[in-house]
Amino acid sequence: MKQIQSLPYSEIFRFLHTRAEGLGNSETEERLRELGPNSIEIPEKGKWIKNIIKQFTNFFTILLFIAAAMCFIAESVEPGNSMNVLGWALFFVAFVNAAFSFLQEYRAEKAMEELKKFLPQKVRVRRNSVVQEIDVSNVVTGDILILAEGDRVPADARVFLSESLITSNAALTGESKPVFLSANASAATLLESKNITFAGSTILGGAGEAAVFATGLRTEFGKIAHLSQHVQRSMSPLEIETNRMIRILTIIAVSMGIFFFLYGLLSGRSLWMNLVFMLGIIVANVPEGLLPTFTLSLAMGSLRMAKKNVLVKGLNAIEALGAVHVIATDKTGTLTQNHLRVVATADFRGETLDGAQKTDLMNLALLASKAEKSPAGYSGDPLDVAIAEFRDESIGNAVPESFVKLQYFPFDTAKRRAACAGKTSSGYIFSVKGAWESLRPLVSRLGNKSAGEEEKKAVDATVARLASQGLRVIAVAARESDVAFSSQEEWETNLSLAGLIGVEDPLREEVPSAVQKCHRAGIDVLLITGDHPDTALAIAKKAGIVSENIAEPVIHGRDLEKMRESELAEKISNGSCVFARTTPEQKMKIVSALKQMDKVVAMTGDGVNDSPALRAADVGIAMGKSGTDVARQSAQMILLDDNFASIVGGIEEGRTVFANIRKFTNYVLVSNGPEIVPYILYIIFPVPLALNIIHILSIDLGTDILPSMALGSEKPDPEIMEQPPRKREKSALLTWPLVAHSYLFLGLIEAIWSLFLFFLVLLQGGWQYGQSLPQDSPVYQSAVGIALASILLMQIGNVVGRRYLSKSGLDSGLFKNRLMIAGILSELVFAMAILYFPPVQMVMNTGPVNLSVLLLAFAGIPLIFGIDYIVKKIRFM
Amino acid sequence: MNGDWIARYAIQLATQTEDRTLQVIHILDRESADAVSEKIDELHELAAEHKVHIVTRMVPRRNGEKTSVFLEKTIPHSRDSIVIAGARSKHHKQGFLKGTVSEKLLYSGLFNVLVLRVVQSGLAGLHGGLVLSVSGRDKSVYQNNSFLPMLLPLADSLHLLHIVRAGNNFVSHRARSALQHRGLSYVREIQEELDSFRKDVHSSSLLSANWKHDLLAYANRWKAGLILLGATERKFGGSADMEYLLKYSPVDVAVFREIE
Repeated sequence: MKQIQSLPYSEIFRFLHTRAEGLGNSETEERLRELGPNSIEIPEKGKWIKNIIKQFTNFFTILLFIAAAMCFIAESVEPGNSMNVLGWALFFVAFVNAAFSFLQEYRAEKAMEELKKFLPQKVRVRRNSVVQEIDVSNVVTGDILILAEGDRVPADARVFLSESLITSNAALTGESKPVFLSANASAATLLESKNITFAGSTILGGAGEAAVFATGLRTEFGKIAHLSQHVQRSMSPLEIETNRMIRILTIIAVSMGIFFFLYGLLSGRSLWMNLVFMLGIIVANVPEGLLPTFTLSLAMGSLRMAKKNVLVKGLNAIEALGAVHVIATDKTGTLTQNHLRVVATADFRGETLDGAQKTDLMNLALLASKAEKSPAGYSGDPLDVAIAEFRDESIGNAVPESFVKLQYFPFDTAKRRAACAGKTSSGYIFSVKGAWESLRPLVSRLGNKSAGEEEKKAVDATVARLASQGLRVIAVAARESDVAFSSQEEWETNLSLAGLIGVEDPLREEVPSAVQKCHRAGIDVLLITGDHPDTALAIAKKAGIVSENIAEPVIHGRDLEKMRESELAEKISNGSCVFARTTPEQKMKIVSALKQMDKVVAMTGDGVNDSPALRAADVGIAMGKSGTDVARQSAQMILLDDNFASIVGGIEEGRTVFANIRKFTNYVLVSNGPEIVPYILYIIFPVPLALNIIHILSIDLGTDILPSMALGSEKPDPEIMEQPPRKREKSALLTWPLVAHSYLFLGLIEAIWSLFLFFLVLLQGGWQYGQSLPQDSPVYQSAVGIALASILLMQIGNVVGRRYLSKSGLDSGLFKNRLMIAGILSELVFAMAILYFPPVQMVMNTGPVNLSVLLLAFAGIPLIFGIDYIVKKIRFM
Repeated sequence: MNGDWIARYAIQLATQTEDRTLQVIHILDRESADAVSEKIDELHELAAEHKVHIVTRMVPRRNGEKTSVFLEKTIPHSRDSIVIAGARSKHHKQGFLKGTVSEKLLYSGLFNVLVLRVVQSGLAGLHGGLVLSVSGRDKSVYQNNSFLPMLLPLADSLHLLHIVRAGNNFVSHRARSALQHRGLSYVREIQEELDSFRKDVHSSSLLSANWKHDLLAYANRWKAGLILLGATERKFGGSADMEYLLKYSPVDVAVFREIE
């Protein structure tokens, strides 16, 4: 079945149901209705509302809203107990949690805005025989586009009239090389045809007309845009773990609440009392400050990474980077300096050229180049610039006066060569430079001698040898003529090989050590490039990516195209780590295969067509300097210096972040113990309640925040990059040992000591077991005050102990952490304020204690710290 | 115009049948018989290029009789009858499938029906990969399917995709992994059956909170020319989801239903 590009002129209009004069009004209306407007965006009704609602669907937030609702119900049932105040407080907490979740997820979706910039606002079409300017969204299949220099193409169209029409398909291919368009039928595939102009491309020169055959999402550009928006980004390891932790804590909270509520009912306590009790249990179990602390900690991590030249756009990406198992990286500009240099000139046998031969070679190479010279130096294609600079260095001078450029044939991706025809004093000269494989069939001479198969094989060997050194090899050939030809094909006969140029894009100096650091940290590095396999392998070896004993280190893009993901996954498992001659589309396949292997993947990219792969990877990393805006908007991280080594710095930071998150999760959960136990005692025994919900919130959302953030900003462990990435099944934030350590060990110590002091003060004040006390009783207020204050003080011992798993925490660095000092001071100050500062006493309903009791409260610090330290020593003996 | 696009597919499919014969039924409405006749001539030309024999039936519209009723009476009720129809929106109140003659034929249960929504007019028929969205139910739907033997030889590649509906917040990671593995096992069993047709079959299982978005993204990613799914796939979101798919798909979509 013929496709649009293979049709001769006579069939184009019939195929698309159009005419050269253009469509009529009713036809355009019908097509707009049938295929929709020419837009790359799918309208989503209520998108922002859905996003906001989604933030309120995590269990913590739902639980807190339910608790708030219960408070309002309780206030209406039995008013005068300030339950409505509590309700508003819980509502506020729930809102804060949701807002922080929103902040964590929210990333201004600007990728679509950047993509839209590739399309014009207005276009010229012919309809009803009249050329008119219309809104780009109204372009339909069958419309006749009138194209001129400077125009942006609004839709995919088949060219049927070309007057030297030249376009740039950079938006699709990432290459800004000009493409000459013709109206002739083509047997090539759609993307390779020279009679198709694509949406998003730019007309660089000439004029022409084309019939639209695809609009909106159905254009090649639209498909990239669609993928950029709708590729499902998988949940980061932290998100997965946070959700799991929230689920577990919620189950614990609700189970305990319901159990003791029923117990209370059965033991004859009033509904009102049981309700308050259940609320207390739930609020005590939910670490309200944990999620905001996650976000704040990640935000601080992002600031630290910015100093290491890594700009973080999605906060969860920081921790995801720490969990990475594989980095799939580009070559040019990321591993290399992206500064091409000519380092070798050779003849067909590989012998270095010098003297007149070298001069001729470089003159011919320059003729087939287009580097512009300015006072600042050369500019243009990096290869052309490298040739011009080398020529100047080795030979000096500008273009020889005897050369006058007549017609330049820019680089063609299909032909893989660039050429130029020039006039000399004695006639005409044609020079072409490009990949040897593309020139091989055109070369028939070596100077004055004919070049047979034997000579060509010698060239093959030389090219392979130079490529194996990591060089990009450019062959230069030429011919002279008495007459000038008009087409490149006519010139390209009877060419003589002038020589080979070896071009190097040196590795960044820090790359080999960065790769080594990755390997020591158990992270694999994959190289993905459009270069020749030998060049790619040589670079990979220089960078240390490939080890010697791999049977099949390189996969060619041609083979990758045919592979199933499972086959690809197997090859990667067996050590294949270099992907050569690959296209940006194949990056998606590599990401999918790695995810099938359950790996956390970081992927670099810079082009528009890298955007889907950047979204699909666990961590998409765009280049800050050379990347397109679309790639930068699609990625979660941007390398400000385009340097691979910065990724490694980011990984170290990410691992540290996870380790620190574990520390402050442990820290925060400890205070749940002394918050829950008073309620259990209260429901089982006839004793006063030691802590109310406001007290709990003052700890969870108040004094615990700064010390948590201090733990979140601890410096990296020196050995953190000497360990392999954590396995998914072992990357739990909340493990049973951690729960036991928090609730049943440290939490229990705090509960026992704080309740000891609570009852001590009560007994000293004349309370007797079973006696109920009014809320405004000074004895009760003092007892509550010391219970709360002692918890705050013991949290000081807890935070110091949480700094290290095995060490005491008093090691150097404790007082270098300013947040730590602030956190400790805040707990001290608030503990004293609760007991002795009247405004705080009034709000918290607390009272003062005597000095001896206060000193006992302070003794809680070394008590908890000391017991914790002894247990650490025993565990790690 | 849309008829031409559907016709190109139909001719392509007819090349895969034994008798290489395509019957074209057109119900004459207000348009002139000359205009239709010209179209039919073009169709004959195209069919001849592909060595497909066309039998045309042009029937004037009968007053009071619905088109779908007429077609149901005219087309033989048999598993051997394979009906190709188009999905298009004639006016703003009508969906691409919902409320159309094609929908009525699809759910008539009298013959096998394939409804096509063509959006890639430049390609003319099936070019590129085929994405078959499998539902997770009875595998026999795919094992003895009338349409797959016709479509598979025309496609560059075949991708089997199984989508399991699962949100992010309420399903644990472990449960999600288990669902995904189960889905992958299921789709690989179907793959084994289809391996007899071709060897380059790819299988995937996705967990998705929005199946239609993910199906379209998947097809786009693998450069599919056509998404094929069974009409019984309406369980996820009903006709609204199907309409979304037909309206916003960047590639052609075909919905099939076979008689029991």
